[in-house]
Amino acid sequence: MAKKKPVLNVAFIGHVDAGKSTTVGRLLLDSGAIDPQELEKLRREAEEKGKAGFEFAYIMDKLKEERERGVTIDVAHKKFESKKYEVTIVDCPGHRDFIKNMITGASQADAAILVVDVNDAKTGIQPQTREHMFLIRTLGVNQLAVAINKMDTVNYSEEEYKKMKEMLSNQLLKILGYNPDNIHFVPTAAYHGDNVVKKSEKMPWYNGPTLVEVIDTFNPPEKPVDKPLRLPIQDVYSITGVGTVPVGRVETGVMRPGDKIVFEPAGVTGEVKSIEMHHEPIQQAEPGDNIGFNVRGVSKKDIKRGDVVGHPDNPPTVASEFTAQIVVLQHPTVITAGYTPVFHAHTAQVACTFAELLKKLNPATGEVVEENPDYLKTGDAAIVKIVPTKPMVIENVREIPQLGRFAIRDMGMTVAAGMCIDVKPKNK
Amino acid sequence: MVVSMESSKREKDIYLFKKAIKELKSKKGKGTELISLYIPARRRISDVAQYLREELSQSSNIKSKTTRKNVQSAIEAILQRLKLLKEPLEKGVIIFSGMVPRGGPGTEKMETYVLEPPEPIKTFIYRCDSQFYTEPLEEFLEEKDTYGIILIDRSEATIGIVKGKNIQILKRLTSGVPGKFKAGGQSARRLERLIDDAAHQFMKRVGEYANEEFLPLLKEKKLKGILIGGPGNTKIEFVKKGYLNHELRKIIIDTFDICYTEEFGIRELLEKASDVLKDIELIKEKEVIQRFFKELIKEDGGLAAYGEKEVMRYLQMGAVDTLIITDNINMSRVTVKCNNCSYTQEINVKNDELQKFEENLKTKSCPQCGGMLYIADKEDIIEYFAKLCEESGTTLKIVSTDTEEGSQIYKAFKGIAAILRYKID
Ligand SMILES: Nc1nc2c(ncn2[C@@H]2O[C@H](COP(=O)(O)OP(=O)(O)OP(=O)(O)O)[C@@H](O)[C@H]2O)c(=O)[nH]1
Ligand SMILES: [Mg+2]
Repeated sequence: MAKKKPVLNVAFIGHVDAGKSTTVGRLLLDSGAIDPQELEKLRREAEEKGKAGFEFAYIMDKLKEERERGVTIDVAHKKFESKKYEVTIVDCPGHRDFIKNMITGASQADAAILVVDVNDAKTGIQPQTREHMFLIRTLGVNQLAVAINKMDTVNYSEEEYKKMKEMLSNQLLKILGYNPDNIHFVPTAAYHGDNVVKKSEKMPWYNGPTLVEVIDTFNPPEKPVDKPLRLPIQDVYSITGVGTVPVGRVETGVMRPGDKIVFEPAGVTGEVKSIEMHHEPIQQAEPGDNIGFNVRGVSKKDIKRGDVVGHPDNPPTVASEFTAQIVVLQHPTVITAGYTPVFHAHTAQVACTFAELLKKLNPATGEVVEENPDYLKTGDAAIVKIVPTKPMVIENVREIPQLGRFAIRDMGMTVAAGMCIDVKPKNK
Repeated sequence: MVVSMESSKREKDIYLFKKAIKELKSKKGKGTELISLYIPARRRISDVAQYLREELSQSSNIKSKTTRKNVQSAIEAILQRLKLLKEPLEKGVIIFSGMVPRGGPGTEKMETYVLEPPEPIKTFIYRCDSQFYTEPLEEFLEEKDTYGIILIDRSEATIGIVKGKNIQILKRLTSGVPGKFKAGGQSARRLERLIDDAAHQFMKRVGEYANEEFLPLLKEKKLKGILIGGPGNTKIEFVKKGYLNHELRKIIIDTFDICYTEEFGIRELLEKASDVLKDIELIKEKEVIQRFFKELIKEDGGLAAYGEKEVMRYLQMGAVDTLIITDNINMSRVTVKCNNCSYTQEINVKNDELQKFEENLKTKSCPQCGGMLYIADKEDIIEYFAKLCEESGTTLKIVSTDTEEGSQIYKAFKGIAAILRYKID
């Protein structure tokens, strides 16, 4: 048996209708993960539903509502093999209503591909393009590539491509601390197959890699197998004849069938019966593995998205309060003590109150510029004390970085980002 | 300007009203000897006096000697007060009277309160009990308009109401609708059917709970409208397919695209629906505080000011456009005088530090003549501010700390904030 390829989770992100699902579908088809006959069937279904052109997207968009409306609602995972990796694709929704699902997806990624419509150069950067980039930055996804899509609609023009690339670089990527020179910008026409897997003949001016080749330029993720087990739950299923099946991605540590596990903050324990990855049983789940597992002694009702699995001898930390370092990305007014927006950490979303603003920092140097500030506004960095309104798992970023980062949302946008630098665990 | 003055006065009246109720409720008589009297609008005072005189003669039957004496003197106190009232009574009047113990036995003192109701009184009430009867008063203050809220998507729902300054969660439901993860061996068709069926069952449950909570409110004519929110199409399906009682469907105001269906989704919904809801207290309060915040983020703090000292300074200059105070700041404006010369000083003291302040005062002497200092007057700070506001045409907003914004004003700005007309260095 050939040596198993390392696993890489790649999230497709970007504004609604940019063509994320279409790109993913095309990638799966052209790399042989999907049968062309299957696509033919989907093409007919799309036409019947008055959604011609969405056949590629239908590969990932399986829900009826997604197909009828032509939008992705929840994240979908799909496996394919590149030269170097066993890739799990995480197709994220772009619509702003479903951003909480996007965050769940992004929190599971090792790398991200931002898909943009080349025509955005004319109108400016789309709001969810911006927000998704803020979010993956916040969640610590540092490997990035860009697909500048729908090149067919601008006659495969190099000029339009360049305009889009410039705009993204100057108005977004540099601000977030990326160096555009180290990022691949691939001009694609996903619907027609250009530069996704096959090199396009229509864009001889481009001699960079195709999207699939770009995936192989990403570095394999670290595998923190020595750390305690942490597996944030993305969803829980109850399957007839099987039982309770939570799904999620292992962030740290190792889980094996037979392990006793605990779900926090639910506080329930169970035993792992079997583990599956992409419908195949595995004997050991490691960091990066996106798995479904069957657990004995736990009912679907007891656990939910946002719970974290660990071993009982080193369970996930449930915070009664925590200290965080935050940056205010964009806020229409001010952040003060008493403010209670939604925090997204790993797959959890919990309203948390700012209990105290401890220090205001210089965002560039990190040095303290003010003790106990009265309020914070856009651009400010600070150390703050946070009290969750409900039990939640969060870890000190120095110990388990994967579970120490969070995004703060309010009024339909991501207003701040941060990391937990000290946790006061809840007494049990 | 007139409008804002009017509403400022109302803000103050309501605050004082609440304060009075709280005080009245804390008083307890020894026996059933505290009298509450609600006189309806336009009732003739002579009729009321007649009624009371009959009660007075009836009361001679009371067995306990002290109770009898106390009841009789309370009625007499009320009869005295009636003589001071002017006819006609536009809104009616409320009188409380009775012997209230101040400490141990023998400390009772006759206390009489006359209140003007915020709205006309409709029914005559005479009550003699061990407590003052304040429920009808509280009803005056209770917000009548309630809005129902339903947040729903495929996986969960929240049912709640918004009333006055309060958001109340009535029910949280989760669906069990399967997601996109496909179990081995399950056909796509079968999964789709499962999803459809589970979604239908879920919306039915949400509808039933909403009917159960909202229909009684509708019957009492309290429910003004229903707002429905959530991501995607589920909320629209929920409305269109008639999961809600038809009476309730008629008062659906609108559906709103929002991201969250948990409790905190209600915030997002209120934000989006603020145009429709602009008359409810919660939104008005939010709006004023947001305006203050928006000034604050401007260069050099814009036209925002906060903290007791700074705001006082601007208030006294007449430079405050809107004053925001939380209803729990518990401070008094204290006037200190010298018993020897004309020295006077006004200062703000926290209520729980009043005693300490008074004791400290004994150790101090008049800076002008060295005479003895004493407290000449004590006034609730909010009343004092309200007076200053009236003088300078300032809008007064007394906010509660039950709302998030109110608690921000309290925690971050010590309960006092202002939007200014102009700023000086
Ligand atoms: N002309 C053209 N249309 C494209 C291309 N790629 C995608 N589209 C169209 O863009 C529309 C949206 O595509 P999706 O793949 O569903 O977009 P998405 O980014 O996944 O959208 P959400 O998941 O809802 O955020 C569909 O009508 C596609 O046919 C392309 O390369 N060229
Ligand atoms: Mg999509």
